[in-house]
Amino acid sequence: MTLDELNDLQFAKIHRILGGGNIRARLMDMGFVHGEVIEVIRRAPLSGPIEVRIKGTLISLRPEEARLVEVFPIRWRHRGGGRHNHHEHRFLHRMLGFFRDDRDNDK
Amino acid sequence: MTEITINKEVKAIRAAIAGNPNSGKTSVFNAITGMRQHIGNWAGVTVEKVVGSAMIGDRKIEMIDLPGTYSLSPYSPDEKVARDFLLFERPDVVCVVIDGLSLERGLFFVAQIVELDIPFVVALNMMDMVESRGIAIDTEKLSVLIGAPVVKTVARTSRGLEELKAKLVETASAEYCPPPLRYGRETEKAIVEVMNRVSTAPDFVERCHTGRFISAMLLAGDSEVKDLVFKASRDKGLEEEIDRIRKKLELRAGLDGEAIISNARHGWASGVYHEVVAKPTHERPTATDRIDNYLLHRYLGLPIFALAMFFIFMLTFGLGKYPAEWIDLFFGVFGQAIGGALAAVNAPEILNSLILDGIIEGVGGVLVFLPNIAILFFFVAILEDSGYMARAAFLVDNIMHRMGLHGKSFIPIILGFGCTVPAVMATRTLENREDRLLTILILPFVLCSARIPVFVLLSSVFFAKNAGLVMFSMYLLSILVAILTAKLLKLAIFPGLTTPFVMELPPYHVPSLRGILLHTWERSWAFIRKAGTIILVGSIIIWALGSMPPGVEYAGEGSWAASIGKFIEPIVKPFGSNWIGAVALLFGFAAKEIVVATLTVLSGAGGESVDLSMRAVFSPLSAYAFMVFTLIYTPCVATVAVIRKETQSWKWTATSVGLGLSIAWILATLIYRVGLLIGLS
Repeated sequence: MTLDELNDLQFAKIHRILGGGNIRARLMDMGFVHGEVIEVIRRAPLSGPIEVRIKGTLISLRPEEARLVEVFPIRWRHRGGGRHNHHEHRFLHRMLGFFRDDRDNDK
Repeated sequence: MTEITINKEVKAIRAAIAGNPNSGKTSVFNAITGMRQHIGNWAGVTVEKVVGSAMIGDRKIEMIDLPGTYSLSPYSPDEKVARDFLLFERPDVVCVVIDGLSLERGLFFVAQIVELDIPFVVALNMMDMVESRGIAIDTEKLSVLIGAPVVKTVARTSRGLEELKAKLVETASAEYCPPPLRYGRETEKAIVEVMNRVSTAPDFVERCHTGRFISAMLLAGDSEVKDLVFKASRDKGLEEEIDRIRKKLELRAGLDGEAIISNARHGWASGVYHEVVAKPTHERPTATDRIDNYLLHRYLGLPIFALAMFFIFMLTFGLGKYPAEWIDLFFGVFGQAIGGALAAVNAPEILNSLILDGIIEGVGGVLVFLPNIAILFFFVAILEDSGYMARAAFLVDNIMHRMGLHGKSFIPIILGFGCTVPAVMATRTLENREDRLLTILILPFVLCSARIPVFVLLSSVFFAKNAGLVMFSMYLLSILVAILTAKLLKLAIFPGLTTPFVMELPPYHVPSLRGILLHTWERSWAFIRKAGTIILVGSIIIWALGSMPPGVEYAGEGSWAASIGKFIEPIVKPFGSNWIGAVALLFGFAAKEIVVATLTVLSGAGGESVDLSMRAVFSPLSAYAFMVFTLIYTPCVATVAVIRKETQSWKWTATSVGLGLSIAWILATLIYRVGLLIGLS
């Protein structure tokens, strides 16, 4: 599976970077390396770039580039490691009281 | 005290500031040197190294602000500037600035600095934001792990800077050899093997980790280090042998060399990171996340952006109107006062004319537009400092991509609405040469603020009721021409081009009023300086051409200006301009503001009202065609110079000028002729 196929708010672990040359080097410099956890945050309007969070920073990349990142999707069940809770982006839902994540109660 | 130490006391310390893009390097630089470099909250603001100096105690320190880099294997021109400086100019000390919020990635950069054998100090910047998120960083432990001093700073408020300065001086003169970075068993073996081969080269100098660095870069397949090593060595078998070592390692690790080295460095960075950082177990969504939920919303994002642009536009011209009137009034009164004073001392007629018709008329006519420009720059500064600029590129990338451009072309284009010169320089953030060239070639079509005076003048005279609409049509046309040219050029010159778009979205900052006013002031001052230099000289030359040979009626039939204008009149005739328009356009090559000065001076607007004198030169239709020509042809000499500098090619510079002139002529003529045909005039 590649990064562009993930849904918004989904987490995945990076397997490897396909392709070669500059783009691959740049992705690796930005932390797209084997084993790193990545979170898809949103897509730009009109099927534009994809925004992801990696190593605590926000990066945007085009679908063409996301296609080079091979990932394994993960379901985020544990809380450790100080990673971000995935519902943090559902601010709107929380504001409106629509959304309550079960993980808030499962400690 | 020995002589050596005395010499060392006298010599300035060369300290380079390096780090990831947007980590606050320029803020640190400004805070230390007291200079006022431009800072924006998006990557790639510093495109060339900037040098400044400061006194720390009794030591002089020379600071070099380098463009941001993610690693020492550069892939854009500005990253190469930084890497080459560190590698070949070898500063005495490096100040690595790390954004505390992306510490892990900063440590990946440190992993490479460690091997450069240059003493370094880490400035852990933006600590206020780190602390406000409840994240604790153990700097003492960090300092031990990376083998270099770590100072917590908030460059914007100068927190921690005294300590940083002291550490820089201290570290520059200390013995230095930090613990090496370990790459893992197999890789270490390969590194030792490569090192043994490389270090036998005659001109190899081992400092501390130089051999490791070169070996790692060779294993990673860095083409430039390869070139350096293999060209320098007379050993023919070297390249083959290193290739063999790399292939063996790749086979064992199941990855390519580049990934092996990169993974190891990231592994080190991640290890150090988790050793020193304690995060709260329950992280709240950050302000940036919450703001982005709205500003980057799938449906709301673009409308909000368009609305923001619209408001900036309206405020720039709506608010700017009033101070512009005051300036106009001031120059009127000022001119009369000077005229009175000159008459009182019986100044010669020619001096009187020079000052009144030449200088005050010319420079005053341009300074009227200062308020508009200052307000526009004020808003652009807010967009830059807050972090919204990168979001704008994110939102519009798809649109830009369809036009054959890059999301990052958007930033130069926005700057191009201010001035083409900084816009052309800002294209350095585009990694790919073809993308850059394409952006540079279309930038002159973007309506820069220097052309606004021409449009304001002509549209207020000829289209008083619809002046706003005419202005808007100019902006629209500018964008259309830019897009169409981009499309055509892409097809004609750069077919099949796509370049990566990987860009960081920095956390939002509340921009400081001081910073914004500073930016506004700097850019406005640049405009005033231009008015005081190029435009002043231009005004005097135009006046001289208008009043020579002596005795001729000012800008009358017999003047030199008229002769030049008449000579090139056949070129401008097809779009309805006469010799005055021709001279204005010719002088407009110096700077577009001069077009206004020329028009008012040559048409003799000093005496009568601007309205009447303009109507003597243009009809509404020919005025519009003239505006279109002004919009599209080369903005100014400074633009030509900077295009030459950035493209390093006369061919592309000539292409840019030729393209501008021919499209301008064709469009202006087309509009004028079609207008005549359908009976407008």
